[in-house]
Amino acid sequence: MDGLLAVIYYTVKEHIRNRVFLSFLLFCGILIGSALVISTLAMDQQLRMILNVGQAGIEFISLMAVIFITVNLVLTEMETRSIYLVLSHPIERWQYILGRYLGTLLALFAAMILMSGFHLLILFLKGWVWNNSYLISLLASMAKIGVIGSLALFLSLSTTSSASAMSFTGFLWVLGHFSSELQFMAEKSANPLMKAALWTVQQIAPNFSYYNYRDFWQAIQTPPPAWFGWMSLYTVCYIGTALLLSSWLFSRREF
Amino acid sequence: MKKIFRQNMGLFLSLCLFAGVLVSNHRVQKLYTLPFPHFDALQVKHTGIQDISFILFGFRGLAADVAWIQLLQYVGGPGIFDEQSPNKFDLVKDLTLRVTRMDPYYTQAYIFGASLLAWIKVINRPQEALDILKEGLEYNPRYWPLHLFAAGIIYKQKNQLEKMFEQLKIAVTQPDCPVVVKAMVARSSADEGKIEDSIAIWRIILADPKAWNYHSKARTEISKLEKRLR
Repeated sequence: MDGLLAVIYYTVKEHIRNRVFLSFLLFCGILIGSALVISTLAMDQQLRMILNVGQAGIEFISLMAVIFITVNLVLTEMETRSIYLVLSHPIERWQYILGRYLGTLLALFAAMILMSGFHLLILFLKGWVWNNSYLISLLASMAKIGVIGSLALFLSLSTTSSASAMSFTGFLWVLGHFSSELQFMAEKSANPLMKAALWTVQQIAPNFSYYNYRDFWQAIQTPPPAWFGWMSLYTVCYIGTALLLSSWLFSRREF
Repeated sequence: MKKIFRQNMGLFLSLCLFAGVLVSNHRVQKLYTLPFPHFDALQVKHTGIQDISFILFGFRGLAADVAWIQLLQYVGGPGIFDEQSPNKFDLVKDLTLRVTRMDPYYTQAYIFGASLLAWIKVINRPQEALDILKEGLEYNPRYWPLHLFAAGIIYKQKNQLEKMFEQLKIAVTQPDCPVVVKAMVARSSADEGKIEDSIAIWRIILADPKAWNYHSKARTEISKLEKRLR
Protein backbone atom coordinates (compact mmCIF):
# COMPACT_ATOMS: atom_id res chain seq x y z
CA MET A 1 0.00 0.00 0.00
CA ASP A 2 2.87 2.37 0.84
CA GLY A 3 4.40 1.64 -2.55
CA LEU A 4 1.14 2.47 -4.31
CA LEU A 5 0.73 5.73 -2.38
CA ALA A 6 4.32 6.69 -3.14
CA VAL A 7 3.75 6.18 -6.90
CA ILE A 8 0.51 8.19 -6.76
CA TYR A 9 2.27 10.99 -4.87
CA TYR A 10 5.20 11.27 -7.24
CA THR A 11 2.91 11.09 -10.30
CA VAL A 12 0.75 13.95 -9.04
CA LYS A 13 3.86 15.99 -8.22
CA GLU A 14 5.33 15.26 -11.65
CA HIS A 15 2.18 16.46 -13.42
CA ILE A 16 1.82 19.61 -11.37
CA ARG A 17 5.40 20.54 -12.28
CA ASN A 18 4.87 19.61 -15.93
CA ARG A 19 4.71 22.64 -18.25
CA VAL A 20 2.53 20.82 -20.79
CA PHE A 21 -0.03 20.11 -18.09
CA LEU A 22 -0.03 23.74 -16.97
CA SER A 23 -0.36 24.97 -20.54
CA PHE A 24 -3.46 22.77 -20.97
CA LEU A 25 -4.90 24.50 -17.93
CA LEU A 26 -4.05 27.93 -19.26
CA PHE A 27 -5.49 27.10 -22.68
CA CYS A 28 -8.75 25.99 -21.09
CA GLY A 29 -8.90 29.26 -19.16
CA ILE A 30 -8.54 31.15 -22.43
CA LEU A 31 -11.19 28.95 -24.05
CA ILE A 32 -13.70 29.52 -21.25
CA GLY A 33 -12.93 33.23 -21.30
CA SER A 34 -13.45 33.35 -25.05
CA ALA A 35 -16.92 31.86 -24.50
CA LEU A 36 -17.86 35.32 -23.23
CA VAL A 37 -17.00 36.81 -26.62
CA ILE A 38 -18.43 34.03 -28.80
CA SER A 39 -21.66 33.89 -26.82
CA THR A 40 -22.56 37.47 -27.75
CA LEU A 41 -23.37 36.09 -31.21
CA ALA A 42 -26.11 33.90 -29.72
CA MET A 43 -28.27 36.92 -28.78
CA ASP A 44 -30.44 36.08 -25.77
CA GLN A 45 -29.04 32.55 -25.58
CA GLN A 46 -25.75 33.90 -24.25
CA LEU A 47 -25.90 32.03 -20.93
CA ARG A 48 -26.70 28.74 -22.59
CA MET A 49 -23.75 29.22 -24.92
CA ILE A 50 -21.31 30.11 -22.12
CA LEU A 51 -22.50 26.99 -20.29
CA ASN A 52 -22.06 24.73 -23.31
CA VAL A 53 -18.75 26.18 -24.53
CA GLY A 54 -17.34 25.96 -21.01
CA GLN A 55 -18.42 22.38 -20.36
CA ALA A 56 -17.30 21.24 -23.80
CA GLY A 57 -14.01 23.12 -23.43
CA ILE A 58 -13.25 21.55 -20.05
CA GLU A 59 -13.96 18.09 -21.41
CA PHE A 60 -12.01 18.63 -24.63
CA ILE A 61 -8.92 19.97 -22.87
CA SER A 62 -9.12 17.16 -20.32
CA LEU A 63 -9.39 14.66 -23.16
CA MET A 64 -6.32 16.10 -24.89
CA ALA A 65 -4.42 16.15 -21.60
CA VAL A 66 -5.38 12.60 -20.63
CA ILE A 67 -4.41 11.24 -24.06
CA PHE A 68 -1.04 13.00 -24.25
CA ILE A 69 -0.11 12.43 -20.63
CA THR A 70 -1.32 8.84 -20.19
CA VAL A 71 0.10 7.54 -23.45
CA ASN A 72 3.54 8.87 -22.50
CA LEU A 73 3.18 8.00 -18.82
CA VAL A 74 4.94 4.65 -18.88
CA LEU A 75 6.50 4.85 -22.36
CA THR A 76 8.72 7.82 -21.43
CA GLU A 77 9.99 6.08 -18.32
CA MET A 78 10.74 3.00 -20.42
CA GLU A 79 12.58 5.05 -23.04
CA THR A 80 14.62 7.04 -20.51
CA ARG A 81 15.21 3.80 -18.57
CA SER A 82 14.14 5.45 -15.32
CA ILE A 83 11.70 2.56 -15.00
CA TYR A 84 14.62 0.40 -13.78
CA LEU A 85 15.13 2.77 -10.91
CA VAL A 86 11.43 2.76 -9.99
CA LEU A 87 11.10 -1.02 -10.19
CA SER A 88 14.19 -1.53 -8.09
CA HIS A 89 12.09 -0.28 -5.16
CA PRO A 90 9.91 -2.76 -3.30
CA ILE A 91 6.76 -2.21 -5.37
CA GLU A 92 4.75 -4.65 -7.43
CA ARG A 93 4.28 -3.95 -11.14
CA TRP A 94 0.51 -3.71 -10.77
CA GLN A 95 1.04 -1.12 -8.03
CA TYR A 96 3.18 0.90 -10.40
CA ILE A 97 0.51 0.83 -13.16
CA LEU A 98 -2.35 1.58 -10.77
CA GLY A 99 -0.39 4.30 -9.00
CA ARG A 100 0.59 6.02 -12.23
CA TYR A 101 -3.01 5.90 -13.46
CA LEU A 102 -4.54 7.13 -10.21
CA GLY A 103 -1.94 9.88 -9.83
CA THR A 104 -2.66 11.14 -13.35
CA LEU A 105 -6.38 11.01 -12.74
CA LEU A 106 -6.07 12.89 -9.45
CA ALA A 107 -4.05 15.66 -11.09
CA LEU A 108 -6.51 15.84 -13.99
CA PHE A 109 -9.56 15.88 -11.73
CA ALA A 110 -8.02 18.68 -9.69
CA ALA A 111 -7.48 20.60 -12.95
CA MET A 112 -11.07 19.91 -14.04
CA ILE A 113 -12.39 21.20 -10.71
CA LEU A 114 -10.24 24.31 -11.05
CA MET A 115 -11.44 24.90 -14.61
CA SER A 116 -15.06 24.36 -13.53
CA GLY A 117 -14.59 26.86 -10.70
CA PHE A 118 -13.47 29.46 -13.23
CA HIS A 119 -16.35 28.53 -15.52
CA LEU A 120 -18.86 28.85 -12.67
CA LEU A 121 -17.44 32.23 -11.73
CA ILE A 122 -18.12 33.51 -15.25
CA LEU A 123 -21.59 31.95 -15.25
CA PHE A 124 -22.52 33.52 -11.90
CA LEU A 125 -21.22 36.91 -13.05
CA LYS A 126 -23.56 36.58 -16.03
CA GLY A 127 -26.54 35.84 -13.76
CA TRP A 128 -26.72 32.06 -14.02
CA VAL A 129 -28.64 30.29 -11.25
CA TRP A 130 -27.04 27.17 -9.75
CA ASN A 131 -28.42 23.85 -10.95
CA ASN A 132 -27.36 20.49 -9.49
CA SER A 133 -27.21 19.09 -13.01
CA TYR A 134 -23.95 21.00 -13.47
CA LEU A 135 -22.34 18.92 -10.74
CA ILE A 136 -23.72 15.65 -12.18
CA SER A 137 -22.47 16.67 -15.64
CA LEU A 138 -19.01 17.37 -14.22
CA LEU A 139 -18.91 14.01 -12.42
CA ALA A 140 -20.05 12.24 -15.60
CA SER A 141 -17.36 14.07 -17.55
CA MET A 142 -14.75 12.98 -15.00
CA ALA A 143 -15.90 9.37 -15.28
CA LYS A 144 -15.60 9.60 -19.06
CA ILE A 145 -12.04 10.96 -18.74
CA GLY A 146 -11.30 8.10 -16.32
CA VAL A 147 -12.46 5.51 -18.85
CA ILE A 148 -10.57 7.02 -21.79
CA GLY A 149 -7.47 7.40 -19.61
CA SER A 150 -7.48 3.70 -18.73
CA LEU A 151 -7.89 2.83 -22.41
CA ALA A 152 -5.04 5.17 -23.38
CA LEU A 153 -2.79 3.47 -20.83
CA PHE A 154 -3.73 0.02 -22.14
CA LEU A 155 -3.14 1.08 -25.75
CA SER A 156 0.21 2.69 -24.91
CA LEU A 157 1.38 -0.65 -23.57
CA SER A 158 -0.08 -2.75 -26.36
CA THR A 159 0.98 -0.70 -29.40
CA THR A 160 4.46 0.01 -30.66
CA SER A 161 4.49 3.81 -30.66
CA SER A 162 2.89 6.65 -28.77
CA ALA A 163 1.49 8.10 -32.02
CA SER A 164 -0.47 4.94 -32.78
CA ALA A 165 -1.68 4.72 -29.18
CA MET A 166 -2.93 8.32 -29.36
CA SER A 167 -4.66 7.69 -32.69
CA PHE A 168 -6.37 4.54 -31.41
CA THR A 169 -7.50 6.33 -28.27
CA GLY A 170 -8.94 9.15 -30.37
CA PHE A 171 -10.69 6.58 -32.53
CA LEU A 172 -12.19 4.91 -29.45
CA TRP A 173 -13.43 8.29 -28.22
CA VAL A 174 -15.31 8.85 -31.47
CA LEU A 175 -16.53 5.24 -31.61
CA GLY A 176 -17.78 5.58 -28.03
CA HIS A 177 -20.00 8.47 -29.06
CA PHE A 178 -21.26 6.48 -32.02
CA SER A 179 -22.25 3.37 -30.06
CA SER A 180 -25.95 4.28 -29.64
CA GLU A 181 -26.07 4.70 -33.42
CA LEU A 182 -24.36 1.33 -33.82
CA GLN A 183 -27.08 -0.22 -31.69
CA PHE A 184 -29.72 1.48 -33.85
CA MET A 185 -28.02 0.20 -37.02
CA ALA A 186 -27.81 -3.31 -35.58
CA GLU A 187 -31.55 -3.22 -34.82
CA LYS A 188 -32.36 -2.03 -38.34
CA SER A 189 -29.97 -4.30 -40.22
CA ALA A 190 -31.54 -7.23 -42.08
CA ASN A 191 -28.23 -9.04 -42.54
CA PRO A 192 -27.62 -11.31 -39.50
CA LEU A 193 -23.84 -11.16 -39.94
CA MET A 194 -23.83 -7.38 -40.01
CA LYS A 195 -26.23 -7.35 -37.07
CA ALA A 196 -23.91 -9.57 -35.03
CA ALA A 197 -20.81 -7.55 -35.96
CA LEU A 198 -22.43 -4.22 -35.07
CA TRP A 199 -23.81 -5.63 -31.83
CA THR A 200 -20.38 -6.97 -30.83
CA VAL A 201 -18.61 -3.67 -31.55
CA GLN A 202 -21.31 -1.78 -29.69
CA GLN A 203 -20.92 -4.02 -26.64
CA ILE A 204 -17.13 -3.86 -26.55
CA ALA A 205 -16.65 -0.15 -27.31
CA PRO A 206 -17.23 2.21 -24.39
CA ASN A 207 -20.61 3.90 -24.52
CA PHE A 208 -19.60 7.54 -24.08
CA SER A 209 -22.93 9.10 -25.09
CA TYR A 210 -24.35 8.00 -21.75
CA TYR A 211 -21.79 10.15 -19.93
CA ASN A 212 -23.03 13.30 -21.70
CA TYR A 213 -25.51 14.10 -18.96
CA ARG A 214 -25.25 17.80 -19.91
CA ASP A 215 -27.09 16.96 -23.14
CA PHE A 216 -30.16 15.31 -21.63
CA TRP A 217 -30.78 16.73 -18.18
CA GLN A 218 -33.51 18.91 -19.68
CA ALA A 219 -35.31 15.94 -21.24
CA ILE A 220 -38.84 15.19 -20.09
CA GLN A 221 -37.70 11.81 -18.85
CA THR A 222 -34.40 11.84 -16.99
CA PRO A 223 -32.63 8.62 -15.95
CA PRO A 224 -33.94 6.86 -12.80
CA PRO A 225 -31.61 6.69 -9.74
CA ALA A 226 -30.83 3.00 -10.43
CA TRP A 227 -29.39 4.03 -13.79
CA PHE A 228 -26.70 6.10 -12.09
CA GLY A 229 -25.78 3.06 -9.99
CA TRP A 230 -25.42 0.87 -13.08
CA MET A 231 -23.45 3.60 -14.84
CA SER A 232 -21.04 3.76 -11.89
CA LEU A 233 -20.63 -0.02 -12.00
CA TYR A 234 -20.10 0.15 -15.77
CA THR A 235 -17.39 2.79 -15.32
CA VAL A 236 -15.60 0.88 -12.55
CA CYS A 237 -15.73 -2.40 -14.50
CA TYR A 238 -14.49 -0.75 -17.71
CA ILE A 239 -11.61 1.02 -15.99
CA GLY A 240 -10.83 -2.15 -14.01
CA THR A 241 -10.72 -4.27 -17.18
CA ALA A 242 -8.40 -1.84 -18.97
CA LEU A 243 -6.10 -1.51 -15.94
CA LEU A 244 -5.91 -5.27 -15.37
CA LEU A 245 -5.04 -5.78 -19.02
CA SER A 246 -2.42 -3.00 -18.81
CA SER A 247 -0.97 -4.54 -15.69
CA TRP A 248 -0.92 -7.99 -17.35
CA LEU A 249 0.88 -6.59 -20.41
CA PHE A 250 3.32 -4.69 -18.23
CA SER A 251 4.07 -7.78 -16.13
CA ARG A 252 5.07 -9.66 -19.29
CA ARG A 253 7.63 -7.04 -20.30
CA GLU A 254 11.22 -7.78 -19.48
CA PHE A 255 13.25 -5.06 -17.82
CA MET B 1 -1.22 -25.22 -14.83
CA LYS B 2 -1.05 -23.29 -11.60
CA LYS B 3 1.93 -21.37 -12.94
CA ILE B 4 0.11 -20.43 -16.15
CA PHE B 5 -2.87 -19.25 -14.11
CA ARG B 6 -0.66 -17.19 -11.82
CA GLN B 7 1.19 -15.63 -14.75
CA ASN B 8 -2.04 -14.73 -16.51
CA MET B 9 -4.14 -13.86 -13.49
CA GLY B 10 -4.51 -10.28 -14.73
CA LEU B 11 -5.96 -11.56 -17.99
CA PHE B 12 -8.45 -13.89 -16.26
CA LEU B 13 -9.53 -11.19 -13.82
CA SER B 14 -10.00 -8.71 -16.62
CA LEU B 15 -12.25 -11.20 -18.42
CA CYS B 16 -14.36 -11.48 -15.26
CA LEU B 17 -14.58 -7.70 -14.99
CA PHE B 18 -15.48 -7.44 -18.66
CA ALA B 19 -18.48 -9.65 -17.92
CA GLY B 20 -19.43 -6.92 -15.43
CA VAL B 21 -19.08 -4.36 -18.25
CA LEU B 22 -21.47 -6.35 -20.45
CA VAL B 23 -24.06 -6.84 -17.70
CA SER B 24 -23.99 -3.21 -16.55
CA ASN B 25 -24.07 -1.94 -20.15
CA HIS B 26 -27.17 -4.07 -20.77
CA ARG B 27 -28.87 -2.69 -17.64
CA VAL B 28 -27.91 0.90 -18.50
CA GLN B 29 -29.47 0.55 -21.95
CA LYS B 30 -32.60 -1.16 -20.58
CA LEU B 31 -33.17 1.47 -17.90
CA TYR B 32 -32.79 4.53 -20.10
CA THR B 33 -32.81 5.25 -23.81
CA LEU B 34 -31.02 8.38 -24.91
CA PRO B 35 -33.73 10.90 -25.84
CA PHE B 36 -32.29 12.10 -29.16
CA PRO B 37 -33.26 11.59 -32.78
CA HIS B 38 -30.93 9.21 -34.62
CA PHE B 39 -28.46 10.39 -37.24
CA ASP B 40 -30.87 9.64 -40.08
CA ALA B 41 -33.22 12.35 -38.73
CA LEU B 42 -30.57 15.09 -38.64
CA GLN B 43 -30.83 17.93 -41.15
CA VAL B 44 -27.51 17.27 -42.86
CA LYS B 45 -28.18 18.69 -46.33
CA HIS B 46 -25.85 21.67 -45.98
CA THR B 47 -23.68 21.13 -42.93
CA GLY B 48 -23.61 17.40 -42.34
CA ILE B 49 -19.89 16.98 -41.70
CA GLN B 50 -19.80 19.82 -39.21
CA ASP B 51 -22.80 18.60 -37.22
CA ILE B 52 -21.89 14.93 -37.16
CA SER B 53 -18.26 15.70 -36.23
CA PHE B 54 -19.39 17.75 -33.26
CA ILE B 55 -21.74 14.99 -32.09
CA LEU B 56 -19.15 12.26 -32.55
CA PHE B 57 -16.72 14.24 -30.42
CA GLY B 58 -19.41 14.42 -27.73
CA PHE B 59 -20.38 18.06 -28.08
CA ARG B 60 -24.04 17.89 -29.08
CA GLY B 61 -25.09 21.00 -27.15
CA LEU B 62 -22.28 23.05 -28.63
CA ALA B 63 -23.19 21.80 -32.13
CA ALA B 64 -26.74 23.06 -31.59
CA ASP B 65 -25.37 26.43 -30.42
CA VAL B 66 -23.24 26.79 -33.53
CA ALA B 67 -26.24 25.87 -35.68
CA TRP B 68 -28.30 28.44 -33.75
CA ILE B 69 -25.78 31.19 -34.54
CA GLN B 70 -25.82 30.13 -38.20
CA LEU B 71 -29.63 30.34 -38.19
CA LEU B 72 -29.41 33.87 -36.74
CA GLN B 73 -26.86 34.82 -39.40
CA TYR B 74 -29.13 33.46 -42.13
CA VAL B 75 -32.19 35.42 -41.04
CA GLY B 76 -30.16 38.44 -39.97
CA GLY B 77 -29.32 39.33 -43.56
CA PRO B 78 -31.01 42.19 -45.38
CA GLY B 79 -34.62 41.97 -46.42
CA ILE B 80 -36.38 40.22 -43.59
CA PHE B 81 -38.68 43.18 -42.91
CA ASP B 82 -38.83 44.30 -46.54
CA GLU B 83 -42.01 43.09 -48.24
CA GLN B 84 -40.45 43.59 -51.68
CA SER B 85 -37.45 41.43 -50.78
CA PRO B 86 -36.63 38.75 -53.37
CA ASN B 87 -35.27 36.54 -50.57
CA LYS B 88 -38.11 34.42 -49.23
CA PHE B 89 -35.95 32.77 -46.56
CA ASP B 90 -36.72 29.26 -47.79
CA LEU B 91 -34.28 27.61 -45.39
CA VAL B 92 -35.78 28.86 -42.13
CA LYS B 93 -37.61 25.60 -41.39
CA ASP B 94 -34.64 23.40 -42.34
CA LEU B 95 -32.18 25.47 -40.34
CA THR B 96 -34.47 25.54 -37.29
CA LEU B 97 -34.94 21.78 -37.43
CA ARG B 98 -31.19 21.44 -37.81
CA VAL B 99 -30.79 23.08 -34.39
CA THR B 100 -33.63 21.26 -32.69
CA ARG B 101 -32.83 17.79 -34.01
CA MET B 102 -29.38 18.07 -32.54
CA ASP B 103 -30.79 19.39 -29.28
CA PRO B 104 -34.53 18.66 -29.08
CA TYR B 105 -34.72 20.53 -25.74
CA TYR B 106 -33.68 23.86 -27.25
CA THR B 107 -37.16 25.33 -26.69
CA GLN B 108 -36.18 28.88 -27.68
CA ALA B 109 -35.16 27.66 -31.14
CA TYR B 110 -38.64 26.20 -31.79
CA ILE B 111 -40.27 29.48 -30.73
CA PHE B 112 -37.88 31.60 -32.76
CA GLY B 113 -38.15 29.54 -35.96
CA ALA B 114 -41.93 29.20 -35.71
CA SER B 115 -42.38 32.93 -35.00
CA LEU B 116 -40.31 33.85 -38.04
CA LEU B 117 -42.32 31.54 -40.27
CA ALA B 118 -45.67 32.65 -38.91
CA TRP B 119 -45.36 36.36 -38.28
CA ILE B 120 -42.78 37.79 -40.64
CA LYS B 121 -44.69 39.06 -43.68
CA VAL B 122 -41.99 38.32 -46.22
CA ILE B 123 -41.85 34.68 -45.07
CA ASN B 124 -45.45 33.92 -44.02
CA ARG B 125 -45.48 30.11 -43.97
CA PRO B 126 -47.62 29.29 -40.89
CA GLN B 127 -47.95 25.60 -41.75
CA GLU B 128 -44.18 25.17 -41.57
CA ALA B 129 -44.25 27.02 -38.24
CA LEU B 130 -46.81 24.55 -36.94
CA ASP B 131 -44.67 21.62 -38.12
CA ILE B 132 -41.78 22.97 -36.07
CA LEU B 133 -43.92 23.50 -32.98
CA LYS B 134 -45.47 20.05 -33.34
CA GLU B 135 -42.00 18.52 -33.23
CA GLY B 136 -41.11 20.73 -30.28
CA LEU B 137 -44.20 19.56 -28.40
CA GLU B 138 -43.28 15.91 -28.94
CA TYR B 139 -40.06 16.44 -26.99
CA ASN B 140 -41.24 19.18 -24.62
CA PRO B 141 -44.94 18.51 -23.93
CA ARG B 142 -44.80 20.33 -20.59
CA TYR B 143 -43.30 23.52 -22.02
CA TRP B 144 -46.53 25.45 -22.29
CA PRO B 145 -45.33 28.50 -24.36
CA LEU B 146 -45.09 26.11 -27.32
CA HIS B 147 -48.81 25.35 -26.93
CA LEU B 148 -49.51 29.07 -26.76
CA PHE B 149 -47.62 29.87 -29.94
CA ALA B 150 -49.22 26.90 -31.74
CA ALA B 151 -52.68 28.17 -30.74
CA GLY B 152 -51.75 31.65 -31.99
CA ILE B 153 -50.70 30.27 -35.38
CA ILE B 154 -53.86 28.18 -35.70
CA TYR B 155 -55.94 31.32 -35.04
CA LYS B 156 -53.93 33.12 -37.70
CA GLN B 157 -54.63 30.33 -40.19
CA LYS B 158 -58.34 30.59 -39.38
CA ASN B 159 -58.08 34.36 -39.76
CA GLN B 160 -59.19 34.91 -36.15
CA LEU B 161 -56.67 37.69 -35.56
CA GLU B 162 -58.21 38.95 -32.30
CA LYS B 163 -57.78 35.54 -30.69
CA MET B 164 -54.30 35.23 -32.17
CA PHE B 165 -53.17 38.51 -30.59
CA GLU B 166 -54.69 37.47 -27.26
CA GLN B 167 -52.49 34.38 -27.30
CA LEU B 168 -49.44 36.34 -28.32
CA LYS B 169 -49.96 38.96 -25.63
CA ILE B 170 -49.78 36.21 -22.99
CA ALA B 171 -46.72 34.70 -24.67
CA VAL B 172 -44.67 37.89 -24.86
CA THR B 173 -45.19 38.77 -21.22
CA GLN B 174 -43.39 35.57 -20.18
CA PRO B 175 -39.85 36.23 -18.92
CA ASP B 176 -38.37 33.37 -20.96
CA CYS B 177 -39.89 34.57 -24.24
CA PRO B 178 -36.96 35.46 -26.54
CA VAL B 179 -36.58 39.23 -27.06
CA VAL B 180 -36.33 38.75 -30.79
CA VAL B 181 -39.77 37.06 -30.76
CA LYS B 182 -41.20 39.93 -28.69
CA ALA B 183 -39.84 42.35 -31.30
CA MET B 184 -41.39 40.29 -34.10
CA VAL B 185 -44.80 40.25 -32.40
CA ALA B 186 -44.58 44.01 -31.70
CA ARG B 187 -43.89 44.64 -35.38
CA SER B 188 -46.64 42.29 -36.49
CA SER B 189 -49.12 43.97 -34.13
CA ALA B 190 -48.27 47.39 -35.59
CA ASP B 191 -48.70 46.01 -39.12
CA GLU B 192 -52.18 44.79 -38.19
CA GLY B 193 -53.07 48.23 -36.82
CA LYS B 194 -52.81 47.28 -33.14
CA ILE B 195 -50.64 50.27 -32.30
CA GLU B 196 -51.31 50.31 -28.55
CA ASP B 197 -50.51 46.62 -28.22
CA SER B 198 -47.33 47.13 -30.19
CA ILE B 199 -46.27 50.03 -27.93
CA ALA B 200 -46.99 47.88 -24.87
CA ILE B 201 -44.70 45.10 -26.17
CA TRP B 202 -41.89 47.54 -27.01
CA ARG B 203 -42.24 48.89 -23.43
CA ILE B 204 -41.84 45.34 -22.07
CA ILE B 205 -38.63 45.08 -24.09
CA LEU B 206 -37.47 48.48 -22.80
CA ALA B 207 -38.06 47.40 -19.20
CA ASP B 208 -35.98 44.25 -19.64
CA PRO B 209 -32.33 44.96 -18.70
CA LYS B 210 -31.18 41.78 -20.49
CA ALA B 211 -32.58 43.13 -23.77
CA TRP B 212 -30.23 46.15 -23.66
CA ASN B 213 -29.29 45.72 -27.31
CA TYR B 214 -32.96 46.26 -28.27
CA HIS B 215 -33.50 49.35 -26.10
CA SER B 216 -32.53 51.93 -28.69
CA LYS B 217 -34.73 50.20 -31.30
CA ALA B 218 -37.61 50.06 -28.79
CA ARG B 219 -37.34 53.81 -28.06
CA THR B 220 -37.38 54.66 -31.78
CA GLU B 221 -40.36 52.37 -32.44
CA ILE B 222 -42.32 53.72 -29.46
CA SER B 223 -41.86 57.34 -30.60
CA LYS B 224 -42.83 56.41 -34.19
CA LEU B 225 -45.94 54.53 -33.04
CA GLU B 226 -46.97 57.30 -30.63
CA LYS B 227 -46.84 59.76 -33.54
CA ARG B 228 -49.11 57.41 -35.51
CA LEU B 229 -51.55 57.32 -32.59
CA ARG B 230 -51.82 61.14 -32.53
